[in-house]
Amino acid sequence: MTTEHIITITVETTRGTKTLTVEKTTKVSEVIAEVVALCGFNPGDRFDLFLKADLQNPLQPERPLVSYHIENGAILVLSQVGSGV
Amino acid sequence: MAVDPAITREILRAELDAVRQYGRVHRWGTIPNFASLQVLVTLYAHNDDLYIIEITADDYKEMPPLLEFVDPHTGERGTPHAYPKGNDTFFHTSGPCICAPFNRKAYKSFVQTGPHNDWTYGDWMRSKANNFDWSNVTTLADMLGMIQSRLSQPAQYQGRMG
Repeated sequence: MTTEHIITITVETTRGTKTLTVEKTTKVSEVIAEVVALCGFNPGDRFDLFLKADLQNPLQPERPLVSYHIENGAILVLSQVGSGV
Repeated sequence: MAVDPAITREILRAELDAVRQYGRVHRWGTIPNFASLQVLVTLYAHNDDLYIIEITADDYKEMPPLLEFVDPHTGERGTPHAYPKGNDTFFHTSGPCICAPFNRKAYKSFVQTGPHNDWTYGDWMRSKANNFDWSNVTTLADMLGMIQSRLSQPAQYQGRMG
């Protein structure tokens, strides 16, 4: 069985560093959901995922990781913008 | 009833570990003063504008901390020039202040300029203000991470408030 389509990524969060093994075709939104759960955040509010090398532009939730050329060992960053009140 | 400073100090030590870890990504600098229960944090916007936040954490976590921006050029606290400008009222001109349940300065019951007399500080860790789940922003790293996300994204950050 080939494992070329499986990658391990690291996600930096405000509640620690999380490591995930996922398929390259996993959507960004699915990664966010898994990390949010691992962190113990309540789901439902908007979280964004960034490449560590580009913290200005959030990854689009509907796109698969492979479309960003995210490879094994990539480091991503989870953040939340919140809301003006 | 006030929180024993020794308890708050232990919470600060634990939470600052997470602040330092996550802060490596964003170039944060931290200077804690455990005696006064205060922390200074330096952050950078996407264009390298420097910001300084002073966190005052007496009675944390019975109460939210008091977050105040300090002007990096003059050292003045709480001036419009010390504050970023965003595209909503998160960075609020009243005070000015960070207008979020996790900031003591947003509560009118604490600070006269606080925008909200409709918030109760005891709810700060489970607030649903503006239909946002603020229970996800209850640690210092969560708070600073949210502030940083507004500095990092050009769509969110519009320079200094004044």
